[in-house]
Amino acid sequence: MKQVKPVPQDPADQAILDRYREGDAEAIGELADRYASRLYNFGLRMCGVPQDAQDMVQDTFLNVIRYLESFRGETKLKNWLFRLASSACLKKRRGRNDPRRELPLEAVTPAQNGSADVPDWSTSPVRDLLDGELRAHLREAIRKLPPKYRLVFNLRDLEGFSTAETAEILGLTPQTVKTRLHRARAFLRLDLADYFQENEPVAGEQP
Amino acid sequence: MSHQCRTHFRQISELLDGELDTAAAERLRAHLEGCPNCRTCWATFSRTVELYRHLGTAPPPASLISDLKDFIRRQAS
Repeated sequence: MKQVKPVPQDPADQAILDRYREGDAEAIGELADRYASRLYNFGLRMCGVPQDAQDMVQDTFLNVIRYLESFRGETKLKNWLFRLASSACLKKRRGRNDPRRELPLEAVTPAQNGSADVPDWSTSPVRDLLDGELRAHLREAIRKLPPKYRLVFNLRDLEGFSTAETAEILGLTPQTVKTRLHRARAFLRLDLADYFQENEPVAGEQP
Repeated sequence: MSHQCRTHFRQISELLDGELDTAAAERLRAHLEGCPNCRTCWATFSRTVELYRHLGTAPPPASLISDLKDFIRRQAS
């Protein structure tokens, strides 16, 4: 059997793992307390539909029940859960006819004659910009990303995993993670520029 | 956009994430300094990432955790 070198776990996760290994039937329920809401939000951003997100969380925990016994601590428990969740998300999408598979770099690179004028939306305070309408728009824009780009963007920019962690969670090389993240961000930048062309931010008070 | 700008554009995510080596980061910063178009691109690119990072989460359904725990118990029994 291949020897794995365990990584240090978050103390609360380690306590749950210890209790699970001692046969405590409630340990997986405690994992649900800790992670279900976060995984639900991750699923919602991936699937876009609350029921699908809830199903994804359930599928993830079904695999926790099946495989936690063989978890050897080779990665952080949180990262392992996101690996299961990512896999559940991709499985959910597999049956769907989604023609958007790639984001060619050319399609997301700025146009030949970009503007030299820095637009207001890149300098106004974030709290002034992020109203309910913009939040709804950002959530919708994430769903326009092809799934494999959406997955990387979700893990890197919204869940806060590092490049190395995201690569490990998804079984990709760090370079592939970087490439997909850059294209996803570039796509969302163009989308946001279009949005602000139609919805100019409210100017702050002039001194 | 010039070939040089395109090359630099490919690296701006890595600059933002602190993943470029020092020499490459310095070259890119120097380019941004002298190229207004790329500076605008950098400002909007980094702002886009910042806005998404502040997006926040949606409240899950009230019964999410209790339903899930029921499911876990049913599976275990």
